[in-house]
Amino acid sequence: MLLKIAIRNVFRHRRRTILTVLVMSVGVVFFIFFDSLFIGIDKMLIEELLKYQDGAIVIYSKEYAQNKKAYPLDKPIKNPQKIVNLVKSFKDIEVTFRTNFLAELIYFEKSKYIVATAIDPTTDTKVFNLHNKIKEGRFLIDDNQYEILLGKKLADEFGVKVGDTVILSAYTKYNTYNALEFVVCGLLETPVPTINESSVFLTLKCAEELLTLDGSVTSAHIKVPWKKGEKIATYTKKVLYIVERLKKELYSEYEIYSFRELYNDFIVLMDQKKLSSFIIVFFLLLISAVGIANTILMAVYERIKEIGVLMAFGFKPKQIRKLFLLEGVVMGVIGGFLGCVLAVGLNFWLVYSGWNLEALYAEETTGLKASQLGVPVWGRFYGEWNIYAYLFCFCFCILVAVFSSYFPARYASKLQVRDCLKFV
Amino acid sequence: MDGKIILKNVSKVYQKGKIKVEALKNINLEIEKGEFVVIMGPSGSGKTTLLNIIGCLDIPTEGEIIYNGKTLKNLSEDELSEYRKQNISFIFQSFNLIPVLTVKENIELPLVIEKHLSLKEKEKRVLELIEKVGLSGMQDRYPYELSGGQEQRVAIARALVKKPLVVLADEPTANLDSQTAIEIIQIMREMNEKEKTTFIFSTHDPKIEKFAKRIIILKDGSIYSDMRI
Ligand SMILES: Nc1ncnc2c1ncn2[C@@H]1O[C@H](COP(=O)(O)OP(=O)(O)OP(=O)(O)O)[C@@H](O)[C@H]1O
Ligand SMILES: [Mg+2]
Repeated sequence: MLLKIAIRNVFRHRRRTILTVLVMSVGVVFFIFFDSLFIGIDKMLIEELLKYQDGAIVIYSKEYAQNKKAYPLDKPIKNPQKIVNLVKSFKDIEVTFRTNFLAELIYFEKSKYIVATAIDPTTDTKVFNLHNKIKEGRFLIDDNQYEILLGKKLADEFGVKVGDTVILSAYTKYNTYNALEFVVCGLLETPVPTINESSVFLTLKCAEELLTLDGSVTSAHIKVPWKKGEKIATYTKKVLYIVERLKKELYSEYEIYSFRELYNDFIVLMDQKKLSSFIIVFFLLLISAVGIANTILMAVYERIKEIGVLMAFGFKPKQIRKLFLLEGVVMGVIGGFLGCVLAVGLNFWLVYSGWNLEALYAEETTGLKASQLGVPVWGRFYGEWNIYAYLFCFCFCILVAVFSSYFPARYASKLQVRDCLKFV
Repeated sequence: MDGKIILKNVSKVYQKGKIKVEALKNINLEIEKGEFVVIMGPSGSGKTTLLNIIGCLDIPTEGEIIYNGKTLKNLSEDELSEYRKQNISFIFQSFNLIPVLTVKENIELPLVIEKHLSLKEKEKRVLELIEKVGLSGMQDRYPYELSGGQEQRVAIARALVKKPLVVLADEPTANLDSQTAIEIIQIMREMNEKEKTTFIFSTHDPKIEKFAKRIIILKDGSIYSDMRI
């Protein structure tokens, strides 16, 4: 009966209820939306970086790792074959070798310092996905032609087109200066803005000519396949397991990094963004808490006679309190439920259609380069389903409702019968 | 278990800042089970105060009330509330039905906190009372769909559903036209006779006098006259 009274009272003051409940459900929708988006972004961010930049696991020689930022060509991987053999003992995983070096890209009077990457075109395609992101021209091929691949944005900046000749100058392994002419064979457009804005790829064979590498490579990149729908956590576990096994064999000479360590900075950054969004949600729920408290308090004042009648008939303060608490809970349940339902709709869109943030922050309108926005990956973001977010929100709404109606309800229960019945 | 209500030297003083109002002065009163008592008197004479004290809604400043041979002196709020729940019902001047409950649910309300009754028994009592107060066919209406007289009938049924020792009513007819007022008093009288429930109510309306079995007239907080008819 108390529940019946509570429910009917909630529905009686429709406008008041709708307002409170709406704020609450907007909070829920926000929470679930951002939760979904962030999980999606996290996953996509890692996935794309793995596909275009680093692979799941990166191996350097110990000496190279200590001085990574300087790209020291004289500290290569001493025994690539050992790594290749080791990788073969795992199922499904692939390895390729690369050499990164600092270089100056020159085209007529324009020039720019960049980090160039020498790759092995045949194995690189097994680990990375660059060959599928050629906007114009074609991917590198393994012959002796002097060809390079440029990021599309970089090429645009230089005014370079496919077929044009550019100069790449760099210090060799023996610290002498060298420069060579290359024909641009293709332009890359990937979801990773830094690749589009500043990458230069060439074959290891060409790099040999430029840098006198003596066949050495500086880093190994390992791909661990990511099954569709696999959660970040399980994938990470899988990768870390492989890292552990590799370390057993290679720890004396090599430094082995999983993507987890490589992207720690990004992950921290993302966590900060998440936090700031959840603060918004927190405020929305706070507003709805105040709303509920206010609604219940109003209900108490309006129904002071009713309270008096109930008390006169012997209802205990505890039962009066329960009546108003229930009213709050009913609102919490409605708000939480409504929020979850709306969120399912929005989530659906986010998961299956995706949200094109690129359009929102287009370079033309904001004047910012994509890489300056602090997100290392760009494009259409997809959400993820997270049932726990729904459960959490629903429970949290009820918690907020109970908490915010507790005080007015307690106030009601402490009223004196004779005061309530004064004007009866 | 004689169902007798005894007031012994009951006084009530309201203190408002420095001003003291003596609402009741040394009242001595015995009310037998099944009496039908009307309390009359000019405005401010203490009728409401007296009913509140009999109904355990308020505590006397001095003196004591004895129900069934048991004194209610020194009972806590909770104990008084428990006492009200078991023995006392109220009918109010402005009906005070719960607006979100139907006629039937309103009548059932006092039984919500009665744990020892079966649902079947509750249902039976409610339906019987609806019949008795003449509301057959209106059990699913909401209070706003009723006239004042009908609302007060619901209130009477609600007051009787838990079979109380006494029903207290402070000016139960003040919001009704005189014809309806008489109808309501007649129903109360009928219930009083059938159920042997004690009724004590206050009124300003002299037309109602003739239905009473006992009339107590208050003046300035004291009993001016007390006569059985
Ligand atoms: N809560 C209160 N605080 C102070 N004084 C009060 C209070 N309640 C009643 N009084 C005073 O006590 C006296 C008796 O009031 P009471 O309400 O019992 O009169 P009544 O006979 O019911 O009057 P009416 O016919 O107008 O309803 C009055 O003088 C009133 O001003
Ligand atoms: Mg009065």
